[in-house]
Amino acid sequence: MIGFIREWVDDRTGLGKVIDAMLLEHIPGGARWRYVWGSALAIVFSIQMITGVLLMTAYSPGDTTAWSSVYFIQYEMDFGWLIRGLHHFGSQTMVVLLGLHMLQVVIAGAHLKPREVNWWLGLGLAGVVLGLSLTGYLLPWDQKGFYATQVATNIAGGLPVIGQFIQKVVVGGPAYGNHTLTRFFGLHVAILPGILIAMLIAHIWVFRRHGITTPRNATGEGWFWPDQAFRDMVIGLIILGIMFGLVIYGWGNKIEPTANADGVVPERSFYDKIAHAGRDGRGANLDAPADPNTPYPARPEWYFLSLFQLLKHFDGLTGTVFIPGGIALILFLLPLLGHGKLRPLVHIASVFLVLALLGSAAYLTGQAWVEDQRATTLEKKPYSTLKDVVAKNRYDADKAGHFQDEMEAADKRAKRAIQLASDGIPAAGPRYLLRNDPMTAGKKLFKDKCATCHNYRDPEPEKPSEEWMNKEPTASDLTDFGTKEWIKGLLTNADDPKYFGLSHLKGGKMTKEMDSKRGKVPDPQKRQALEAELDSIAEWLAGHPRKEVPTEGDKSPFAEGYRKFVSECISCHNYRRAPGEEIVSGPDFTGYGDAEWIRGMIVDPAGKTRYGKNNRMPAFDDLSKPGGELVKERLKLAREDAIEKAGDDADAKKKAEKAFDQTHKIMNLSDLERELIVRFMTHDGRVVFGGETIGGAPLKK
Amino acid sequence: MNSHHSPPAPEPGRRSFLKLVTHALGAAFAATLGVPALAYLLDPRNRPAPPGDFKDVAKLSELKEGAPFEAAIREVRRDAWTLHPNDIVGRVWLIKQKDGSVKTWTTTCPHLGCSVNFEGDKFVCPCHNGTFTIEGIRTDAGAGRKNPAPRDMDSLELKLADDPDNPKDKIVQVKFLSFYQNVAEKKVRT
Repeated sequence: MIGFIREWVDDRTGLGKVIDAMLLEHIPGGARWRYVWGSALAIVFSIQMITGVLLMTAYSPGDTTAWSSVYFIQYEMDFGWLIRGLHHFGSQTMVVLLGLHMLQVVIAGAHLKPREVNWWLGLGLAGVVLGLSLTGYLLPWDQKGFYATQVATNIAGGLPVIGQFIQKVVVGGPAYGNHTLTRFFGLHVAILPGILIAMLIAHIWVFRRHGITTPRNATGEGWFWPDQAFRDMVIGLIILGIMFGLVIYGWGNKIEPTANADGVVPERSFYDKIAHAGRDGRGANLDAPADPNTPYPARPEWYFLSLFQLLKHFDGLTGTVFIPGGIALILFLLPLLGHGKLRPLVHIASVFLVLALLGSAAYLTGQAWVEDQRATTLEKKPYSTLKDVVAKNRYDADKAGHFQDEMEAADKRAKRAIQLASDGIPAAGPRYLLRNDPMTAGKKLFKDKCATCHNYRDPEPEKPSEEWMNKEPTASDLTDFGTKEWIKGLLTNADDPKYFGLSHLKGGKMTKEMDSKRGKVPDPQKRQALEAELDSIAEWLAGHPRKEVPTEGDKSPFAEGYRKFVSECISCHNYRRAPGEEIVSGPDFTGYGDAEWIRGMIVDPAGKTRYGKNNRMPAFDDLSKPGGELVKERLKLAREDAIEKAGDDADAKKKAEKAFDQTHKIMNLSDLERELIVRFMTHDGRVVFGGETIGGAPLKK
Repeated sequence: MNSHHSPPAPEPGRRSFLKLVTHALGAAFAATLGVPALAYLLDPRNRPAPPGDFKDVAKLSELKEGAPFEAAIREVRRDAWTLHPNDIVGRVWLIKQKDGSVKTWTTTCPHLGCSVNFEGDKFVCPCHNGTFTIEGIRTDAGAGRKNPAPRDMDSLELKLADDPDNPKDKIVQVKFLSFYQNVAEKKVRT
């Protein structure tokens, strides 16, 4: 059957002859292992094509989608980590194989007459491969690619006369953005691979015209199929194996499994563990989403490190253009020099030249690496030797330490971004994962806006000295606010600096009430019963109660707690006040300490259901949002009202004015910022979805 | 080209063995890439349709008896990586009945998924003349045209819940689901 189909197709297309022509290549001197490098490059390129097309089916080039789609490939799609990992390490393998192939070619003298054109085609191909690496590096739109590629395009921008124009065209505008990605994507998946394939066909065509460059003493006979093909395939599989090893070793951030609604971390199936091994850190790394708001110590991919290091030695165009361009020019001219009697000389010189180039690149790469390492890393062998060889006097431990600090901070951000992304990414883009993360952005806002009066103990301070956010607090310590311990502490000693001790409430009604309660029960046993009652009230309040007032027969723990609350607290604190019921002097305790309660405290601390006339905290409201003016207007009217109510007496008016101003200060805090603070305080780590504040295109002038 | 060379000299045992091994290596190569590639391409199978939940769509007081009312369904929407916490995922037609109850249908045509409009006294799909009565029942498309809808409009589960802000009013809640188009049977998309 197969034979019949083969004959039928061959009869109508002549395909068999084409295949024969491709496979039946005569190899004088026989097949050899040293001939494999060109084929190895072709094999890895085919892996890049396959994995690249697969990635293309899930990648979305765009400022708000690129990182997210790569995240999705890496962490959510079946075997996405493997496909992306192979593509990532495939590109590095290509560069290594290019070096080996080039070395093999000059050792064989295969760049000399009559194969000059093919040498040039090879150089062109190498350039296209490096171009593919460069364009691909940007596509994940993570911090690393974003900042590293800035450097590359700015080098282009530094070219004389046309540099800035070229840069603008390549970048797709004056700054990085959507069109940078679409253009780099177009280059990476269509234009450069198209050029590469065309040049590769020409490369093989010209190669077949002249045949393989055999060693002078070669004897024996061989054919590409199957003698050389077998060797090529073995090497191809070994390379694929190494690439697999690198991918499986894992370079990414893990996603910590989270518990479901029942508090159980779901067990993962065997298939899930393999198909989504990215969640265990397997595969290539993905840095935090690109964000011009956050610095990043940019370094290029390792095979560009030598060029990067060159810029530290030579400034201006010398390092960026003249030296690399000069090397390219020498390589280009090399085969033309090897004519006639000069041939053996140029042959040997070529080998030395390529070895010297690879050696210099290795030297500069090592130097670049050493300059970025901590002094402690370089103490150990073999790194200490490497340091002595490549960077003895250049090494600056302080600078390296700063770099590593920055790198560690960046890694932490990457890990956090990926963890947050696993719950879903805002449509406004992945950079809002970190910008709107309660545990980082919320903490910072709390520090800037709240810890100017309040105090707070940071469980994860950047420096140990910053553990306490406020060195000179003037209001309560909100560490663990709303917990049983915090509330019991307040009930035990309200005048402690942690509670009212620093404010005007010191020695106030709350303190007096509690003292009087305790004063009434000097008997130690009864006193113990009172403390136990206060304990259970604290526990009840720490549950942020919001349920309806229980009926009389209700025996639930909630109802029991409510009754204790009523017996001790209801004279000063409301709970689910019915319409018409008196508003008492202390804050309303419905939902005490939960997000909504805190929100009310932030927006309207002088409100009747919060601290009323006892308030000294500024209200924080969104004055910049549309309608923000109304908030100020309302406050102004309320002030006028309060003064007017004081009657005609000038002193009374002054007093009322002062009282109002004391209780009603207002400061700007956007709705988004407020939610970040609320979630930080309630230990709710979910990203606040909000994107940019409400706005529109600027009005036309 | 080396056309002046004759084809390889017969060396049957070794050569055919080498060919076989090379083919085997090639197959191993293809499988190593092909199996994960296939799983990767079939990945959407891991993303089930949302189960559907009762959502507030309107207040009963907004509806007039016998007059179709178009309401949007808002839900959490996951679109691959993007999470929309409160997005419009679909629309429904609501019609208040004489007895005060409410009937509801998705606006999605059971034929090929266009959005069904209310025109005159009928539901009409603008794409291929799918036509339904005000009861959502397939009916003559008129003007000799064929009604291609394979089934009646897709009704949805509906609840009237108490309105906490107004004891006299009710909140209309609909459990929104998507169904497979172009089949006679009304089957929930999974």
